[in-house]
Amino acid sequence: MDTLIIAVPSETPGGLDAAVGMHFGHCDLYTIVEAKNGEIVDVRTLPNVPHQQGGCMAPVNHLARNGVKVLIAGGMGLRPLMGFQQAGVRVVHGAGAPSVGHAIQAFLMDSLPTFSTENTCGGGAQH
Amino acid sequence: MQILMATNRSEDIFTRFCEALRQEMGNVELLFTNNWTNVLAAVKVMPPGFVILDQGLPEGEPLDLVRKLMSVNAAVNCIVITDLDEESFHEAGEGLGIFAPLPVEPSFEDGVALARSVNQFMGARGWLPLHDPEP
Repeated sequence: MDTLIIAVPSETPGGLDAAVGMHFGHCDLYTIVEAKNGEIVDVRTLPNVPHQQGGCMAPVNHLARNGVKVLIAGGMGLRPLMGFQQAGVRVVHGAGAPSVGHAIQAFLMDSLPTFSTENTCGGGAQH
Repeated sequence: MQILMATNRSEDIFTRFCEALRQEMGNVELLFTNNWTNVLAAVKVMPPGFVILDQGLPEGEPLDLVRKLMSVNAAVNCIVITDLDEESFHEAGEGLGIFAPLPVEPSFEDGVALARSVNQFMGARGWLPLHDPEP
């Protein structure tokens, strides 16, 4: 099975013990986890790109360029969600996880739901 | 760079606004259409740099068109003509990544302000106007 690269918006300093960032586009950094056969094989951090007016797609492109295939997110807007889908990045809903490590384990146990348009900002969800 | 404007109104209303865009951006091509189908097709096949969506199109409100556009090509940058105040517009467009709102009758000054925002935004991505805009 190929290595899967998973990103989680994180509060500084990132890593498995860090708190999950509540909004993917405005977090300082991402914790990047590589997993293989359901096991974590590497953990590192990736700084976010600056957020600017109308620039919702910048972090989408940033993560896609860095090989991310799964994003665990608590909140995001419709535009970046559509962008991730079009870039081939699966987005799952991980709000409420006490830490990045918990969110990753929940994903690896296949217990996180796919992030839908109903979860987006303006789609009825709070973040 | 192309800017596609979707409006059901006379292009004359936008004359001074468009003059400002050309003045400030130099190599901008302004295209007009009057229905959602053409906008959706353009964004799918030959995406313009920006789309400006007016009120009054027969298929529905501009923010609804933005949602449709996002499902086709989330990379397209949308500018929306609206009569909502700033707070109401922010709430209505939350999560859609609207580049900027414009008033119902955008002026020359609105065009200058928008062009400078676009130039700044695109400059961060390596795009520069062909000429130095007026200071």
